[in-house]
Amino acid sequence: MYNPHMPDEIDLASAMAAFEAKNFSLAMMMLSPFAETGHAQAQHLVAIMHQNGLGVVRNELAAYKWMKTSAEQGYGLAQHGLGFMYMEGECAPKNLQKAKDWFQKAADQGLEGSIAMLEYLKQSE
Amino acid sequence: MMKNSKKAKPIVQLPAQQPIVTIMVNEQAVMQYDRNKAPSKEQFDYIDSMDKQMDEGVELGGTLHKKPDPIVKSQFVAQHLLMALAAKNYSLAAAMCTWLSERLPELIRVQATGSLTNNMKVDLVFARQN
Repeated sequence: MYNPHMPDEIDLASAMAAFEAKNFSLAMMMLSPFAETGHAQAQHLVAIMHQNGLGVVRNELAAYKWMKTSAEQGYGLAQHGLGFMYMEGECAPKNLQKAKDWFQKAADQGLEGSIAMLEYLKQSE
Repeated sequence: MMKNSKKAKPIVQLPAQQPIVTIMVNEQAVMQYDRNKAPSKEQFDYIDSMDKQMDEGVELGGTLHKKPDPIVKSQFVAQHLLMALAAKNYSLAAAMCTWLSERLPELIRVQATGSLTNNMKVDLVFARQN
């Protein structure tokens, strides 16, 4: 059923393309409605843009909010990103246990970077 | 009590520091940095470590600079910022942007033109140029 308030797949593809083309201001504008409606990948990309000041001024709180929302939906890259935030104390208070927990969730989905980070954290204990 | 308590005007009027630094690639704003939001201790530590590494020498445009001056360092960091963007290493690009914004207080814009994957022309625009 057509819902004028629900962004469609064509818009999502255009929003992703804008991100890939590094047109971050446009990507932020186009991805935000998807993030608001619960699209995990859009939430992750919006988090990355807020975290690094891409197309917008850096906003740690917004970065953390969207990364966590996406991670809690089970999006692997966001779980890895949230693990990194806790490990580095960037956008979130430093918490190595939480970092491990989120890296583990991402590793369980097969993310090699997260498996490597878990190994690194174990070695540095 | 002093009757004449008016502050003397400074002889040289320095331009006020601009809070926002924008990284433009082909006339498109890609990154923004707000100087009003102070970097964390970790971020300051990181840009300090960048300085230490650069003080050991950098290669820019095929020339080795054993003791790079601030201009060479700025160009080197700006080039690496663009390389990080091309490689989608956005956290590294953000660190480079932090270095440029914090070490060059009058910088307002980095203007890059060309292709991110090839040699780009990079201009640093300062407040006093406007």
